[in-house]
Amino acid sequence: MWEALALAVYHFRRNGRAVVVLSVPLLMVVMWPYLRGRPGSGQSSREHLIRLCDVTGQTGINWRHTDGSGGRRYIVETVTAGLATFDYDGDLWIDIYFLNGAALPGTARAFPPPRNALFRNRTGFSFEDVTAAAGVGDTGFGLGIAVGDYNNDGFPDFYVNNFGPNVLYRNNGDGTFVNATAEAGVAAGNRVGAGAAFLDIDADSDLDLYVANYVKVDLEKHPVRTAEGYPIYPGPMDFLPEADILFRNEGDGTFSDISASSGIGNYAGTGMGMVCADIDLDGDTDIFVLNDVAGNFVFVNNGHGQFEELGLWLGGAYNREGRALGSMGIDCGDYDNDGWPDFYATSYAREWAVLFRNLGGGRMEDVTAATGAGAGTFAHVTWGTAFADLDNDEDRDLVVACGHLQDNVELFDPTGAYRVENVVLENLGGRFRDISRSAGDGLRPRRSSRGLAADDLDNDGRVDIAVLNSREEPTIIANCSPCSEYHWVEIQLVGIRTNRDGVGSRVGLQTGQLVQWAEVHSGRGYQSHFGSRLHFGLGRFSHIDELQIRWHSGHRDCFVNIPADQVLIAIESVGLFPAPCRSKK
Amino acid sequence: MASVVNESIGQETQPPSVLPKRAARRGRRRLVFFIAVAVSLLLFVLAGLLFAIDRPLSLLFGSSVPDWRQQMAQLDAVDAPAFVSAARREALALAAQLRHRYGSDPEALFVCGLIESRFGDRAQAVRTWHRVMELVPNYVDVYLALGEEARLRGQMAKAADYFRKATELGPDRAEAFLGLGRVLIDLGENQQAVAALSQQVQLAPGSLEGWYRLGLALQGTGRLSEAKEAFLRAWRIKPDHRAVLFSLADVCDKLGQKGEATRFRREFARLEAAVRLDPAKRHTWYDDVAAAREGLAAAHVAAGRFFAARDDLSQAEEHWRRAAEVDPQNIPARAALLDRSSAESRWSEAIHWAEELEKIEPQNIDWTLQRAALLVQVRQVEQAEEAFRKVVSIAPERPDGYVGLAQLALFRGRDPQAARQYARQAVSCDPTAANYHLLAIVCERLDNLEEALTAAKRATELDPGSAQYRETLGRLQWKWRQLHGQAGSHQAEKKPQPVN
Repeated sequence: MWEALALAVYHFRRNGRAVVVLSVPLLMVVMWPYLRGRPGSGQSSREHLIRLCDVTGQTGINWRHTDGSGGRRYIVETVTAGLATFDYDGDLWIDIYFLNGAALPGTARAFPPPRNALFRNRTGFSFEDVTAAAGVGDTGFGLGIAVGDYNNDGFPDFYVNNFGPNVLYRNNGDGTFVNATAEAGVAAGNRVGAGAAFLDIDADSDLDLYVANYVKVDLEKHPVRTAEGYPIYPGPMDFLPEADILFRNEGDGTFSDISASSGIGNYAGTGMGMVCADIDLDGDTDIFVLNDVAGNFVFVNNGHGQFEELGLWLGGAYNREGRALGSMGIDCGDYDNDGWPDFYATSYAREWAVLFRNLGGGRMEDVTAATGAGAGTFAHVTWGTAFADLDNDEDRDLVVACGHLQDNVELFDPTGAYRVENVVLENLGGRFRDISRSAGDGLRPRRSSRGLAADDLDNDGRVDIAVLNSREEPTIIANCSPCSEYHWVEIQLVGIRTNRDGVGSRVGLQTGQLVQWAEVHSGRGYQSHFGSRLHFGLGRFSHIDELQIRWHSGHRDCFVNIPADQVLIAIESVGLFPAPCRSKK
Repeated sequence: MASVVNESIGQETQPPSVLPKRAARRGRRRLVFFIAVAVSLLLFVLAGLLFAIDRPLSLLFGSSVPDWRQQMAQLDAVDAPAFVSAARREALALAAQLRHRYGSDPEALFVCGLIESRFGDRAQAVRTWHRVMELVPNYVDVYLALGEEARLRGQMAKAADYFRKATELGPDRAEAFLGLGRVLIDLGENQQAVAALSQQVQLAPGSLEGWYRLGLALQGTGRLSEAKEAFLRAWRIKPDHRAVLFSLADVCDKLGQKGEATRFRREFARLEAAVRLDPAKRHTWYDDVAAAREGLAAAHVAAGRFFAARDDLSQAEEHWRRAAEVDPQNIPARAALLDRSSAESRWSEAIHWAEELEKIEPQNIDWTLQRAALLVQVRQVEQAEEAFRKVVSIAPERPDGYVGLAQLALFRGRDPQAARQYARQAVSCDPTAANYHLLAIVCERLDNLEEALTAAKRATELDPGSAQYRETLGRLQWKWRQLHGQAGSHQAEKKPQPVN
């Protein structure tokens, strides 16, 4: 472009006006891509493509969340709950599991009692409630969830982290589940749970289980707090922190608590959302746990299931100002496509959500202000979050669920609101801009949202969103972005030597000069689970030049020249296959 | 007593015509009794009514401070919501009172806005501030307040506009530059933030937050060495400031200074753990009553300043007293009361406020110094000396304590050797003209003319414009000449003794 400009100036000096007439069209042609904008070009003025549509009404999901609010303002009411999107029945349509609260002292007893709910995806945005048939209607006080095939039988199981005993549901493979908590030994007592995650801590090909806990709560001695004289929910500083638990999968359907020996149990925190990822790219899985109003934990794995907490030293414990935020949810994704996994953590009102950029080797830096990744979050309490390439333009955008936890916040702080709109930030080549107001009606509903999951619910190659709203029906948001000229690919990993879900494995794909990486996580966002099937936006590239899979077992598979716009199944050491095409049922 | 007996005896003997008189007297007594009861009841009801309509009355009759005091004293023993709502009522009544009395005064309206904003009526506060802007378009504080309001709502660009306007209108207002720099950092505009914050620290070189945020902005632009310098300036002001330690560790890391980074990070971790593990500190975050006390006190402090600006110092003092009473931790009110009572030579009261300030800020030597000076005023020299010694123990690197001790020794005329030692230490800490002059005076008392002359000369060199220093020097030179003759002065000039 600059050469053309210089040429025009040179000829103008030599030949005068006549050349101008010729140069202008030439310049227009040369500069057209820049004027029009291109994927990831950082042109903040260009029209964005992201359109999100609220399709809740057509989904048939009539389930409603309760936090058990009995008027006594128990802290646990504020933090329920997460949700999970995963394909429980293997039909390649991604289903949704919602967690629910339960009756607390003071709550009027309902019959039947509130329960969690599994909705089977029938036709993309048509769901049916199969909770009873599947046998997964736990009536505990649900907080967090993680999905993972812990017994490597090919069917995803899931773990529910409750206030009270937790529940492990084992998938029978026939659309039903069995409560395997007792035999697995993972009930984890009577704590206030938080996020959870399956991960393979020692690369022995079976999934271990990390269970985050929030605070030690005694409902009989629950503190009463006020703000400006109005009753409010107490905060985490009113309680003692609770240590998290790490269960080792013994490979025979049972787990053993190795919190003490692994180093995890040495730290008591106020755990919230969490995500497991290979932060330092040394081949093993590390753990990033957010703590509410306390420094976050970054547990670095030595490769043998022994962990060292290095949050402060790696830069992930606090924000740029050294402040321990009211942290809520966290997701992992390589927003700048430099190959290193970055992290986005949501937080309390009057705090920015924080983007931690991985500088390499796991060392992190808060780049929120520099990238604009906090836009739209300062005024709200922010919860669920996801990195997702919503417009398939080869970089990961951000979605953030918002809503205050104090249902009467307007009374004492008019700058806050209990029900607010959610936020979407478009990634423009490493800088973010808030496009929530112009991204369609999907973000219009004002709710007090908690968990958020991002997955392709209608198999159209565009990532959709499911949001759990406190005390209300969920919101299902279809991605209707007009980005048909942009391509995509989705990849489901099947491990052989690696755990069956491929958790902890990394997939890199090259299109042109760009290499994108993603890792399979189990448990992420705000105490939720989503994205087991990896999604990549490919921009205008209709073929992937090279696709590389670094399995958690250490094995590497490499494929070249793969057509875009399809769901692929990669089987470790075997090959890459297109998923059997499924028409809408 | 006798008459009673007689009456009772005569009751049977007296003629019947007397009986109606007695009955009438008894009836009158009853009537008086009933009237008294009725009046008491009426007074009781009236008192109740007065209490119930306390607010409108206070608006009509002006100050209702005694009622506030009574009410708050009662509420001290009750639960938080009642206390907080009483505080809110009191503060909003104060705002209403100001608005009612001084509705067209922009200063009063501004204070009203502050109070309304703090106590929940933010929309009204914004309206009030806009009204102030209509009255006085160049009112800097309004732009600052609106900027902060926008910031709290997450409207950073709007906040930056307000703060920028404030800097234009008040180029000498450090807080305007601080506000602007802060939101510019949040907006990722680090270059502009550096400019604003550089201006801020020029105006307020002792501003911890100014240096800290300048460091952040410099770090954001990649000027790491300068960022470290700025953080170090902040660190020197408050060595246990966690955010500063965190940032110092971060910038040292980036500069490759791993040892320093580790040192700062360890210190940060230690302080952070102390806060997290201290139950008292954990709970202050949710202390609604403390926040209400603070807010109400701030309202009265602002009102006090308003009245002080109008030279209505008795009203101002009343509000400051109320602020001090409401919030045991409030510093501005106590500092204002200290100044006021000192100015009015109410020494014992001034000493009381200085003592309270010392309790709140035990490490701030200014309050101890002020107390010591006041004790000197009331001739309590022993206590004054003790206070100056306390200053020396808290801040041995600062000259103030030594100066006080030296002056006190001079004043008392005892132990001039010790006075000289203190004066020398003062010069050693801070070689200013004033300290050299003090040393000169002390040495003169000791008849050590050589050292006195040297110090006086140094004082005059450092501040040639001071008539006092020149006079001292002249006097000392005259004394020297008297003692040694004309030649001696040359000798003294040729062989000046080192001061320290």
